[in-house]
Amino acid sequence: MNPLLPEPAVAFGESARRAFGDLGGIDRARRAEHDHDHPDRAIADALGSLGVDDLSVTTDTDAAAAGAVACIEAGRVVLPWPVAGWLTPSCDGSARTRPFALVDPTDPAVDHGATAPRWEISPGNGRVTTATPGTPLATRLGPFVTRVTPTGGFEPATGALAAAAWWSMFTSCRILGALERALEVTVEHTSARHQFGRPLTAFQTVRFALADAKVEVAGLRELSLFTLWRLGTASVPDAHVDALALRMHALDTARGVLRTCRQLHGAAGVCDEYEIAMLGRHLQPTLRLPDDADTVAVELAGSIRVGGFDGLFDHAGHR
Amino acid sequence: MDFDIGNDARQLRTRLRTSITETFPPEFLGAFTDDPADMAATQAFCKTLADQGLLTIAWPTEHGGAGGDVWAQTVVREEMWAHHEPRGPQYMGLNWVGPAVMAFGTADQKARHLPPIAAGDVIWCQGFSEPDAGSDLAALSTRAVADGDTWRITGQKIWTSYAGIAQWCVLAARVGHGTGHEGITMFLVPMDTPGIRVVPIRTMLGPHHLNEVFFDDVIVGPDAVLGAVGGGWAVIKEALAHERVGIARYARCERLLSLLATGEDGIPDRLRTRWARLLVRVRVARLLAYRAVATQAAGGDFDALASAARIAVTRCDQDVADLLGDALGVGGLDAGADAPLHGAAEDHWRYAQAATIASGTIEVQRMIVARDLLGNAS
Ligand SMILES: Cc1cc2nc3c(=O)[nH]c(=O)nc-3n(C[C@H](O)[C@H](O)[C@H](O)COP(=O)(O)OP(=O)(O)OC[C@H]3O[C@@H](n4cnc5c(N)ncnc54)[C@H](O)[C@@H]3O)c2cc1C
Repeated sequence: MNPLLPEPAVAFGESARRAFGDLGGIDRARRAEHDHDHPDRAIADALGSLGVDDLSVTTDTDAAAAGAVACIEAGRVVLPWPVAGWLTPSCDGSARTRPFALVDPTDPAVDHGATAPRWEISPGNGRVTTATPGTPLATRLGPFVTRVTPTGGFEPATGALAAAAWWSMFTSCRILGALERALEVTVEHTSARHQFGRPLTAFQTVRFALADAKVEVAGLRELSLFTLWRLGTASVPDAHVDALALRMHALDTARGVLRTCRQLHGAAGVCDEYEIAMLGRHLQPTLRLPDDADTVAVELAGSIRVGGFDGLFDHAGHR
Repeated sequence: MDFDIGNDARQLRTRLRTSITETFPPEFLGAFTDDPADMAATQAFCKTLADQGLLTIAWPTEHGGAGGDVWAQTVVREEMWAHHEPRGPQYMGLNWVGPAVMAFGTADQKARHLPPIAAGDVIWCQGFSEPDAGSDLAALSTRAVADGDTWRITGQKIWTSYAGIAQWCVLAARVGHGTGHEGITMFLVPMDTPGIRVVPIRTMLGPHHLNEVFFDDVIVGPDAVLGAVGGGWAVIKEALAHERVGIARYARCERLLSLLATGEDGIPDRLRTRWARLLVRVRVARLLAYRAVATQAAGGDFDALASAARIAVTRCDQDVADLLGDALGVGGLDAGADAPLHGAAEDHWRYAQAATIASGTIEVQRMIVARDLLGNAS
């Protein structure tokens, strides 16, 4: 047992944080919001220089960990780019030529759609097709979301279930990064802000709220790393169950943690000048596409019935 | 005991609902959208309501109202908020500025300020919060200094709703060098007075909703003081209590739950139990608000009841927002007339995030409920 991230991934994360900082950090997302029609070449170039494009996540565990860390770092600045979609292994093992995303087949949509002329999409059932993005919604909650038009029907593909699991894990890492940053800025804000003659952190309610959020975020980090490890070691069906579990938990955690962090900012929590408002707003598509936690929970329970759930006891075949 | 709101109130509800649906298209989401026509429509609607005698139906007859009882008032608040507040920013003047002027104003102030509010002619804003005085409102430091028989006001307000379009502001400032409630005084200030500068704040709410307001040596006359010099805290308390029950958030929650259920795709199966639970919680929030209203009408102390209602309803707001988002997927991120519920889910989510902050945070409401619960034991 060694629950530590491999050293190279830690170093990779540090480089990614510097690179995303050089791009302007969260200001990149702020700026992109006013220019959502144009793919941001500088981000693509920065990811290329980092070597994100060369990470072979299925064959190299260090590379998979580096990919997860890249998504965490991207989440910290809600980088307006589908990093997870590009890191997801292709269905046939070749190099990925277009980003991947899970979609709701009844109304397929992807975040950051306009960054690529073509996407590979899947309902998560082992089938895929390609799709072309429309124009961004350009709303406050979905600034970069585009609906996509499939170019054909969804066809079975060998690696499609594995791809779905990797994508879910990577997008959950994006959520994790955003939540870790949300908690950091909330600690900073409540430590610096004084009301009633004291810093907000002097009030036990505030401390307890921060502590609860910390436990939630720490738990999500553990589950993310565990799932990352499982994706590299477990069978595809097992990894699929674990990825569903992670996604569901990430969605549930995000809802509570973002609420707490926003609340502790007071009115500043809805104000774009503050990082917390940007994080909460720009993360919404990741939290809602392709589906909500209840949908995932229903699917998860069904999958556990068939294939079980890794733990100390049996869970398969439940009635 | 009788929970029937009564025939008059029921008829009023029908009348208001008809008037709203005849005036506004189903995609209307309030005054603070990216389309300036929405704000203009709310201003015109206030005039219509005034002409029909509905704007101040709940005001006493001596102030130009129709003398409706508290349940008539309640119905007005419910129908307005349920339908995205078609009175726009004027609800502020109607809900509490008018009543505060009635309670604390001089005869001249009443004569000057109540008719324009009743006619639907004026937008008021509330200048309470400051950068260093949020939850701790009594720490406010905007200063009013007597200069002959005029006052010179200097300081900064923040999060002032509608300041950019308001003609008047109820401003809380401090006279003298006291601390806490001491010296806090309310001023009725025309927003076009020299020395006032409004700077909009970019938020996830609609454009120009929240603002910073700077007061630089703003001069007002003696007739600007509302209530006693140094007696401002009583006005603030009254204003906030009105505000806490004044916005019938549960009504919008219930309408959105209904629209979701009767909409094109209905409620997804997986969310049915959550939907039903929320419907019950929304009813509970409404009943808590009714309890506060009934207690207030009977002359009882309703502070803690108003806070309890506020805690319940603001939580409903956020949980309903989450349910709508979960049910609508990408549609819940979309805005505009063609989006599901005409974009009401996207709109509601954004505003719901501010619900537990505005008019005193949910933590402040908890303090009030706890103080009441614990009494001397605290
Ligand atoms: C949509 C909206 C409209 C508004 N409109 C107006 C307006 O028109 N006029 C106006 O004057 N103001 C307005 N406000 C401001 C509002 O009244 C303040 O935001 C509110 O009182 C909280 O103050 P703050 O934002 O400074 O938060 P802070 O006081 O800084 O609070 C930050 C967090 O710390 C918590 N906290 C603070 N003290 C304690 C404590 N002792 N114990 C535990 N927790 C604590 C708070 O509950 C909150 O979660 C508006 C706000 C919003 C969001």
